[in-house]
Amino acid sequence: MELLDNLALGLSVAFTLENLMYCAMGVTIGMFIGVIPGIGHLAAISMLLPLTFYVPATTALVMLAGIYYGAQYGGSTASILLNLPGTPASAVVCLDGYPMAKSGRAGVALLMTTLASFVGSFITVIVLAAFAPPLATFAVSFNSADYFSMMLLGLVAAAILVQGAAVKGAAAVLIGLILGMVGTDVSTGIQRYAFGLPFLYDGLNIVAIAMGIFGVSEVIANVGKVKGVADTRKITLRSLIPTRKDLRESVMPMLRGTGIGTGVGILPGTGTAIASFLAYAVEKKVSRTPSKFGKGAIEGVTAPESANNAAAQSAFIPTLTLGIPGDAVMALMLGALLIHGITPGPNVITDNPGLFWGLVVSFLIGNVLLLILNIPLVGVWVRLLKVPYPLLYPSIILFIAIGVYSINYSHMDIMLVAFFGVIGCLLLLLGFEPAPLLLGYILGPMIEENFRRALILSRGDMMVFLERPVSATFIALSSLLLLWSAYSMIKERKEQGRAREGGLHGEG
Amino acid sequence: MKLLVKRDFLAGAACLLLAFFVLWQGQEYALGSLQNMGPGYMPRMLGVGLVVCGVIIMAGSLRSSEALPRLNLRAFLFVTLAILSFALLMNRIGLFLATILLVFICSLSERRPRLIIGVPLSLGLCLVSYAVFIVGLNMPIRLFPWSF
Repeated sequence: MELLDNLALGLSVAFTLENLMYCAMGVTIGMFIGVIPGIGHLAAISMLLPLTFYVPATTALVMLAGIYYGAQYGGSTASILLNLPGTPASAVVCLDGYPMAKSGRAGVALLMTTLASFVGSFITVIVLAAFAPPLATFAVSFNSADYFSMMLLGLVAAAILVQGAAVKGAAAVLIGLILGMVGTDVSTGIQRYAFGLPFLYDGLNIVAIAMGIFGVSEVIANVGKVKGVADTRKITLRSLIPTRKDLRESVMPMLRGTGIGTGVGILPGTGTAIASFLAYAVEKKVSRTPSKFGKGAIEGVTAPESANNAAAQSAFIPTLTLGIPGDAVMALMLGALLIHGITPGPNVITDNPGLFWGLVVSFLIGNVLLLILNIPLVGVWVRLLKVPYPLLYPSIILFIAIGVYSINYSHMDIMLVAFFGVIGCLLLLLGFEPAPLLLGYILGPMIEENFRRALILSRGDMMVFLERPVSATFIALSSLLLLWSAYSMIKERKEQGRAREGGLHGEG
Repeated sequence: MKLLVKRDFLAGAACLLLAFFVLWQGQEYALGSLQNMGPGYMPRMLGVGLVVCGVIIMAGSLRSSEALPRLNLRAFLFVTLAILSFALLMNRIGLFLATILLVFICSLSERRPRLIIGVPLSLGLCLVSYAVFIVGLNMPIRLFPWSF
C-alpha cells in the first residue's frame, strides 16, 4: 500500500502544469541534442543549469533528467543514417544500424531502436522505484569505509572496462584523481596544486573539464570529416513497420540489454557507453549466428539501445540513494540539489519524498512522450541531420563556451575549457579514454575524504576495509575484476604468441 | 628514433612526466601518517601509482608498433583560439561581437573556409543566445561594448 501512496504523491507532483511543461521541454531538447552528432547532453544540461535558480528543485531535476534520457533516444538516429554516433553510447548501434540502413531497412532500425529505448527505460524506472528506497534505508548504516570501497569498485570497473589496455584505463583514473586534488584540501584547508591562482582554490570546474575533454576535442576530431548527407527520402511511416521476425528476434535481446544496462548503470562510473558495448558483446556471444553481426543484425541494434537507456535511468539509483554521482551529468544533478539546500545522500528519499517520487513518475511520463515524439515525427528528426557540419560546430563551440560561463559567470572557466580541449586532444592522440579520467576527477575528493576518515576512526588499521561486510564485499568484487582483467590479458598475450608462431602476421 | 612516434611509448612518457611533477610539487604538503593523513598523503600515493602505470605502458610499447594517429592541427589551433578569444573578449566587447568573432575564427578550421555562411550563422546565433540567455535565463552578460 505504501508504494501506491508514494506513486499517488509522485503523480500529484509530476502532473502539475509546470512540471509537465518542463518534462516535455527537457525530453524534446534531449532528443534534439541526441540526434545531432557532436553536441552532448552535458553541454545542454550545463547551459540550462542556471534555470535551477528560478524553479523548484524537483522541476529543475525533471527537466535536466529529461535532457539526459531524451538524448539516449536520439543518439541512435545519426548512428543508423550517417554511421556516426549522435552520443558516445550509440557508437555500437553504427555496427549493425548502418548496414540495416544501407539495405533499405533504415525505417525499421529507427522504429526498433525507439522501441528498445522505451523498453529499457520503462523497466528500469520500475526497478528504480522498487529498489532505490530500500537501498537508501540500507545505506543509512554505511560508514566511510563502505563508501570508500564502493567508490573504489566504481573506479576499478571504469578502468578495466575501457577499450584497449586496462593499464591505460588505470592511468586515466589516476590522472583524474590527481586533477581532483587541485584546490583546497577539505580536511586541512591547505591549497594543493593551485599555484597561487585564486580561481583554482575551489577546484577545477567539472563542466569545464567535461566539455573540454569530451566536447571540444570531439569537434576538433570531426571538423572536415563529417558530411551531413543522409539519404532521407526513404523514411516514410510505412517503412517503419518491422516484420514479425524483427519483433520476435528482439524481445530477448531487449530484455538482456535492459538487465545489463541496469546493472552497469548502478555502478558508479560505468555509464551508458560501457553498457551498450557490453550488451552488444553479450548478444554476439549468445547468438546462434554470430556471423550476422556487423551486417545488419536486429539484435545488434536493439540490445545496446535498451542497455544504454536502462543505464541512463539506473544511474539515478546511486545518485539519489547514496549521493555518489556516476558521471558528470549526475554530478551536475547533485549540484542542482545542493543549490536548493538538499544534501545528497541516503536521506534524500525520506526527507524529500515528493522530489523522488515526482521524479520517478516524470520519468515514466517523459518516456511515453519520447515514444510519441519519435514515431510520428521521425521525418523531422531525420531532416535535422541534413544541417551541414560547418554550420553546426561553431554553434556547438559557442554553446559550450556560454554554457560553462553560465555556471559561475567566470571567464576563467572558458579558458579552462580551451585548456582541457587541448588535454582532450592529447588524450585522443595517446589513446587514453576520457571517461575514466572524468570519473576519477568526480570521485577523487569524496574518495580521499572517506579514506582519511575511515583510517582516523580505525587508528590507521587498514583491516577496517575488510572487517565490515559491506566494505569487504566491494573490495572482493574489485579484486575479482582485477583478477579477471589480468587473466584475460595473459590469455590474449598467449593467443597472440600462438598466432605469431603459426605464421600469421597480424600484430607486430 | 622510432620510439618517438610510438603511441604507447609517448603515453607512458606523458604519465611519468605528470607523475614526477605531482610528486615534486607534492613534497611541499605534509605527509602525515596512515592514522592521520596530511594533505600530502594522497598526492604521493597517486604519483607513485601513476609512475607504475607509466612504466608498464612504456614496457608494453616495446611489443607494439602502433603509431601516433594524426591530429587535425588546423582545427585544433583555430577552435582553441576561438574559445580563448571568446573568453578574453566577452566581458569587454560584449556578447554579440564576441559571438561573431568566435564563429569566424572557428570557421577558419575548414580547409576551404566559407566565410559567407558565417554571416547569417553568427547573426542567428546572436539572436538565439539573446533569446535563451538574456531573455530566458536572465543572465547578466554585457551585450555591446558600450552597455553597462
